[in-house]
Amino acid sequence: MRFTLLLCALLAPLGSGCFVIASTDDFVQDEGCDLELDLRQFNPHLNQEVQIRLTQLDPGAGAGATETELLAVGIFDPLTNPNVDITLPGAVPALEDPERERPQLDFFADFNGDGVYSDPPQDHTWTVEGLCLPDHDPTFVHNFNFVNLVTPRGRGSHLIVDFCPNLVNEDRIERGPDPLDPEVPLEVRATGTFLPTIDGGVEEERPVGFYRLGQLMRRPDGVRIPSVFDSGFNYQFQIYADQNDNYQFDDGEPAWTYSYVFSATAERCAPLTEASTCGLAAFSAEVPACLGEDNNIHVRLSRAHLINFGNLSGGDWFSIPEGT
Amino acid sequence: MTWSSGIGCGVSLALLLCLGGPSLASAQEEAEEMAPQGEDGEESGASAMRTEGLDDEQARARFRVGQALYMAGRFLEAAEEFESAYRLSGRRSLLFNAYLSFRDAGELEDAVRTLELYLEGDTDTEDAATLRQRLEAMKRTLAENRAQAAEAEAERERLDAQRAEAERQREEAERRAAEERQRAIEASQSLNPVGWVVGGAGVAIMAGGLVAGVLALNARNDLEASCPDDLCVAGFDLAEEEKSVQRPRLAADILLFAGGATVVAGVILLFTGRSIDVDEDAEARTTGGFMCGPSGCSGSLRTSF
Repeated sequence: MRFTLLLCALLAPLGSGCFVIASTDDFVQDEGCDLELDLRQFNPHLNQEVQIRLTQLDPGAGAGATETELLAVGIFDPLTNPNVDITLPGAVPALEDPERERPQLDFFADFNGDGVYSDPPQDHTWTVEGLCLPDHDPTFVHNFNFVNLVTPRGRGSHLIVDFCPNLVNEDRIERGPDPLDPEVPLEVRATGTFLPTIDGGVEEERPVGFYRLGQLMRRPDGVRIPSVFDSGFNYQFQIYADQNDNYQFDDGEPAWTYSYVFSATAERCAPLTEASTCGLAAFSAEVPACLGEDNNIHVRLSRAHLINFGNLSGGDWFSIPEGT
Repeated sequence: MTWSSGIGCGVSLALLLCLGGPSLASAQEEAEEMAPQGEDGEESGASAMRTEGLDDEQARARFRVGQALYMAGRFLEAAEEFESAYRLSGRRSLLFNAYLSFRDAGELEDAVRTLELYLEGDTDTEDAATLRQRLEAMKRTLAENRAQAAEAEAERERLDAQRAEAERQREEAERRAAEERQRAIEASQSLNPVGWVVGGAGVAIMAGGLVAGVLALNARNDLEASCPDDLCVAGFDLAEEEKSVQRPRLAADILLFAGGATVVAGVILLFTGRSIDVDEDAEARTTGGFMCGPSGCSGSLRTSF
C-alpha cells in the first residue's frame, strides 16, 4: 500500500503538475497585434477631424516620463459615421524591450476645429491601453473621460499626397482620363517595411498610417499624414476612391499603389507639373513616391497614373457595423 | 487451724484422687502427713515451730485452694497452688498433686518435671515403678513433642522462609512488571525510530523539492521580467525559457510529492510502530490515504493518540 501511494505521488506531477506558482501556461509570445478600435456613439464628433495615434513611451524613459514615440497615425477628415470599426492589420508591434511600456492609442476629436490638437476640453481626448492583451476589448464608446495627450515624437517625415490638377478637373491642357467626382471620399493607407532591430528578427511590414478624406474637394491640394515616416525605410502607399462611401474598397473603385524605396541616391521629387509628374496621357506610367526637398515623402496622385482595379492588398481597414 | 478440718480436707482430696487412679492414695497420704507434722512441729523449737506452723498453714491454704481449683477443672491454676504449697511445706506428695494437675492441664513438660521431682525423693512407694515408667513414657512423649515442635518450628521457619522468598519473588515480579509497564508506557510515548528516519528522509526530499521550486520560481521571475503582461517580447525564445522553468518545476513537483508521501509514510510508521507495542487494537486507529485524480493528488492521515 505504501509503495502504491509513493508511486501515485511520483506519477501525479507528470500528469497535472502541482507547482502552479511556477506555471508558464499563461505566457505567450508577443507577436504584436492588429490595431483595433471600434468607435461607438461618436455622434458629437461627426464632421470633425478625428486623429488616432499609436504611441509608445520612448526607450530609456524613466518613471514618470511622458515623452512618447509615434508609431502610427490615422486621420478621419472628417468623421462621417458615428460607429466605425478600425482594424489595421499587425499595426501594433511586438514589444522588443521588456523595460519599455507597451504601445497605446491616443486619439482625439478636433472639437474646436482649429486643425491641431488642443488639451481637453477644447478637444475631446482619450487613451486606450493594453491593445494586445488577450482580454482587450476594442470597443470604445464615446465618453467624457478626457485625458491630456502628449504630442509624440515623430520619425521625421510626413507623407504628403499631392493631388494633381487632373484628379478632379476636366479642363486640362490635353484631355486625360475622366476626372473623379470632387465629392468622392479618398482613403490613403501607408505601410512600412521595417528591418529587424533585434537578433533573430525578421523584416516586417506594418501599417503606419491612414488618411480618410471625406471628400476630395475638402483638400484640393492634397492631404498629409504627419511625422510617422522615416525616409530611411521603405513604404508602400495604397490609395483608393471610396466612391460608394462604404469605408471599404470595392471592385471597380479607382485605386493606386505607390512605393517609396529608400536609396542614398534616390531621385528627389521634381516640381509638381502636369507635364512631368502628373502626366497628361491616359494611363501614363506610375510615378514612384519620392523624397522632397523638405525631407518629406511625396506621392503625386494623378488621374492619369496607372490605376489598380481590385487588387489592393491587406484587406479593408474600416467597416461600418450593421444597423448603424 | 484444727486437725479435724485438716483431716476433712485430706479425705475430700483423697476421694477426689481416688477417681484419678493410683496417685489418689499418695495425695491422701500426703494430706494426712501434714497433720502430724503440724502436731510434731514442737521438735524444731518454738520459733521454728511458729514459722513452720505458719508455712504449713499457708501450705494448707494453698492446698485447699488447689483442691477447689482442681475440682473446678482449673488444672493449671490448681497445679500452681499445689506447687506453691509444696514450696511452703516441702511435702513431696504435693508434687504428685502438682504432677496430676499439670498432666490434666496438658502441660506435659511441667508434669514430667514435677513427677520427676516427686520420684527423686522417694523411690519406695508402691507405685514408684509404675510412675517411673509413666515418667519415662512422658519423657519420650515430651521428647517426641519437642522434636515434633522443633521439626514443626523448623518446618514453620522453612515455610516462613519459603513464604518470604515467595513474597520477595512476588514483589520482584511486581517490580519487574511495573518496570515493564513503565517501559511500555515510555515506549508508547516515544515514537517508532524508523518513522523518524523515513520522515526525515521525506523532509530532506521535500527540501530538495523546495530548492527546485525556488529555482523554478526564479526562472519564472526571469521569464516574467521578459514577458510583461504575460506577453513575451519580440525575439524572446519563449519555448526554451519555458523549459528552463518547467525542468526545475517538474523536479520540484516530483520531489515535493515524493517527499510528502515519504513524510506521510514516516508519520504512519511513527504511530504504527508504537501502537503495536502498546495496544494491538491501535493498528486500526492509524489510517492513511492518498488519492490522485486528473487535477492533482491529495493525501490524508488519521490517527489517535
